Formats: sequence, structure tokens, C-alpha cells
Amino acid sequence: MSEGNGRAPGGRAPGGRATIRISGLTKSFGDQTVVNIDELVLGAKPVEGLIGPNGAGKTTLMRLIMRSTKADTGTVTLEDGSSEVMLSKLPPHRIASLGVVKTNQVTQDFAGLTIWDSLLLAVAQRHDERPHRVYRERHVRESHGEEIRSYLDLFEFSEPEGFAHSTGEKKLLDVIRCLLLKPKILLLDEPTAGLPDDVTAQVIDMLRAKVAEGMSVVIVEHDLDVIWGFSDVVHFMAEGDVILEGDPAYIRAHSTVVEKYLGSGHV
Amino acid sequence: MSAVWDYLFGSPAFLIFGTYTLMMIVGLGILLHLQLGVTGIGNFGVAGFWGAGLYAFGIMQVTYDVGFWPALLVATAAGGVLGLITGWVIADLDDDGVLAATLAVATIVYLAIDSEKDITGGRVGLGTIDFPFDVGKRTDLAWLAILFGVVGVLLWYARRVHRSPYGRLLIATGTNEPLARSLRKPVKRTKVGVMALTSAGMGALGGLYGPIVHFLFPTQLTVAITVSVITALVLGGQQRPLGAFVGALLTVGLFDIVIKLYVPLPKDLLEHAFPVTKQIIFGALLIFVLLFRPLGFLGRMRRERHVKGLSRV
Repeated sequence: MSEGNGRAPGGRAPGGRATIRISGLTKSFGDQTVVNIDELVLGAKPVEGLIGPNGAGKTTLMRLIMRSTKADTGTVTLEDGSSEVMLSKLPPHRIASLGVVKTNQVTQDFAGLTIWDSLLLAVAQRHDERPHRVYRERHVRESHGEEIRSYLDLFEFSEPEGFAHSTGEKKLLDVIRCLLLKPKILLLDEPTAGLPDDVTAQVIDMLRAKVAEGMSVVIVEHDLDVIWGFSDVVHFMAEGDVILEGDPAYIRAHSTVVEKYLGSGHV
Repeated sequence: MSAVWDYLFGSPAFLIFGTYTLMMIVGLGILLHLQLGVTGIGNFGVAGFWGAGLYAFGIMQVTYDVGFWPALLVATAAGGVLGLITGWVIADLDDDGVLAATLAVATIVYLAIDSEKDITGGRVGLGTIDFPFDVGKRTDLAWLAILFGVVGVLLWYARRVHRSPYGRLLIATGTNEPLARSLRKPVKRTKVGVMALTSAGMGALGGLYGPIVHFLFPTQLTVAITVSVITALVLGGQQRPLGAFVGALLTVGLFDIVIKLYVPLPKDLLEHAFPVTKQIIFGALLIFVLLFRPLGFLGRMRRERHVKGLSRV
């Protein structure tokens, strides 16, 4: 793997950010190897972009980190300060509890839950969700209502007290739900797909604010303007492996990226 | 006036027994509502969890001569433990697998009770079980009042669950497990928990049914109980706490109380053709509702009302 300008060497990130270390991670579907990464550290910089052609393995890599897809071999470790936790041995909900959270490439929602429901679900703690605590709703609402309202005020939902209707609203909801979990590392899988330009800009501004508060972001996005403008470092994936990494300008101009992904007219 | 009274309550024993059945179906339906309508667990073995409680109660009372309250506790525990084990087994299965596995549990319970003889009495039956108190002629009426109270508590709890973070967790688990997991929710534990809790309730209802029938037979645990509960719930509205109540009124209430007691049908017809015809009509009603109103007469959950109510807090 080549390293470009400004890339911190692998290992614990400067400034004490939590990082995800990936070692020997492989995943195949039938005869086709989709992910085959020898060594990779994500989260060392505040915002890291992950790009590559369709089928490069970006989404699968994110799913392997979250264990929504099981790896064939390899380990994924969360390194946070002096502690190390092997994510590849934990169930998905425990990974999220440790502060590694992911949005979904394909729009996901809870049929039957309203926008408020969906967000209250994200903030509710386990002790609020016990079968005998049937009078706990007011407490959850009073504890987190303002925070939820502040997110909902940023965007225009057609029916804030009802259900999310459009794909765009569901996408936004997905991102807000994840932010309400106060993640250490947020994995974003095409978070702005299908959103109008002005809403995309709002989402990026919102994410920047969270990054300034200490959250790290790893973002997969086909809107490359978002990648170039938002990322501190970019990883380029092809054929299941990260073959290049560096700052956005370096990756954007690299002949391999141009040849395999961008095309000569892009630069 | 007296003629009207005689017409309505001329056969109080039949009326009370019909109402017992109605309450039992409503109670089981409310618990199934929490499993199926809220958490999305299609339990086709209601009779098994209910039967485990019924027989645990009977065995404690008859075979081991245990008092009412400890026996009821054992009945509740029997349903709960069976639900816990079943929940753990079905947690990772798809919908078809859950239906098959829960039906298998009910079949196992039935066959175990039917084939065992020393403890359950097998086909000979187990009895007698009496009411835990005796207030003379009003004893069965008092028991009915207790049953009304128990079903009322279940209905209250189901309605509270809908308004609680726990209910929201159940709905999330039932509608999108991967998304719920990604939000830190322990989906498997939630499903096992709700199965254990609601099955314990089914076991307790089974225990409370023991004194009504006095004598237990394996034939009381057939799939007909499950079908009646599912029909009532689907007909009334599986997503609504009152769904089972509305559905049970339209099925058991209409057929086992109104028609049976108040429509002057020939005795031969009532004894032979009526039970079969009733099941056929139940089946046809179920198909009709699933085709034209899949969420039953009461329709879908009204979460937006709950949210608007909250915003006024």
C-alpha cells in the first residue's frame, strides 16, 4: 500500500482519537473475494474518505467492521486510549455500544415508528427499556427531547410528528439516529445519496460540527465533491483492498485512481 | 321484566362458562398481541404455553397437593421457562421457522402430557381441581370477576407497553432487527425476554383455567385454542391492544355465547353441526380479513397520536 502526503502511520492516532485496526480481513462470496485487507487503520484523522469503483468492497468492509456481515478471516480491533477491544468477537449491538456506529447505504427505517419514535429509540438507555418500566416515556422525552428537537429543526421534514415519507427523509433520519448515539467513530455509507445539494451541504455542516467535538468519521460517498471537500485523508479501494491512501489532492491526481476510477476527464 | 331476565340469564352456568372462554381467549390474545402484533413473533403454539401452565397447576394441586398460590406460581413459571427456551431457540429463525418451531413446542407439550400417565394422568385425565374459595352459588361468578380483573390488568399492561420505551424497543425489534442492532439494541435478548414474559402470562391463564374445568384432559390442549386466539386477534387487529377483545367478541362472543345460548337452534344441530360450522366460518372470516383488511377491524397502530400526546407533556 502506498501512502501519500499527510498520512499518519498506522497505529494509535495522534490526539487520542479512537481508531479501528483491521488485520488480515477477508470475505468471499462464492469464488469471488470481496475484501482482502492485510493491514489498515481507520479513524486516525478526523474525517477519512473511502472511495473506489463499484464492487471494490467499500460497503462490505463497513459491514464487516460492524459484523452485520461475518468475516471469513481476520480481526477488527477498536483501539481507544489504552484499551483495545476485539470488535470481531462482539455482536453488532455491543459494537455500537462501544461507539462504533454506521449509517446504511440502502435506506432503512422502522415501519410503524414515527420520526420522533425512531429518534427516541436511539437515545433510550437499556434501563429505560425494561418490561416493568412502563412509565418511563416521559423521563426519556424530558431528558432528550431538546436534543432531538435541535436536530429536527435543522431540516425540513414534511410531517415531523408523523412518519418519514421520502427516501431523503429516511436518509436524514438514519444519520441523526447515529449522531444521537454520540459515536466515537461514525461510518457513513453514502449518507447524502438522493439528497438535494442544499440538504447535502447542511448534513456536511452538521457532521463538521460533530467532528469538531471529537467524533471521527469514515465516509463512503460517490459524490466526490463531498469526499474532496470533507475528508482529511482518502483511502482508495480496488478489488477488495486499500491500494492507496493520502490527502484528497494526492489521491485525486494519482494515476491509478484516475485510471481505475475517475477517468481522465475528471482531474 | 322477569321474562327478559330469564331469557338472558336463564342458563347462568352456560353463560358463565361461555364468558370464561371469552375471557381466556381475550387474555391469551392480548399476550399474543405483544408477541405477534408488536414484536413480530408468530407464535403458533399458544396452546402449548397455556397448556404447560394448566397442567403444571393441575399436577401441583392434584398430584402434590400444593396450595392454590404456589400452584399458580409454578404454572406461571412453567409457561415462562417454556417461553424462555422457545424464545432462545426461535430468536434467529425466520418467520416460517418461528411458526413451525412454536407449533412443535405445542405438539411436544401435548404429546408429553398425553403419553405420560403417572403425573399427568394421560388420557384418563387429572382432577379434580376446585376453586380456591367457596362462596356458595356465587363461587363461579366470583371466579369470573377475578378473571375479568386479570384480563383487565393484561389489557392495562399492553396499553402501557405501547406508551413506553420498552414498547418502542419491541416494535423496532419486530420491524427491522438489523437496524435495531445497529442502535445498540440487544435484539435476541429482547425477543427471548418478551417470549418468556408473555408465555409466563399464558401459563398463569392456564393455571386460572384449571378450577373452571375441574378435570384436565390432553384434548383441551389441541390447536383449536391457538386457532381461536389467532382468529380473534387477527380479526380484531393484531397491532392494537384491544384487537383481541374486539375479535373475541365477534367470534367466541357471537358464536359461543349469543348464538349458542340465545338462538333457538335444534339440539341436534347445536351439538353436531354447529361446532364444525363455527370453525369453517372462523376460517372463512380469517381469509376474508387477511385479504381485505390485513390489519383487522381496528387497523394499524396509531403511533403518531402517541407522539402528539407526548409533545404536550
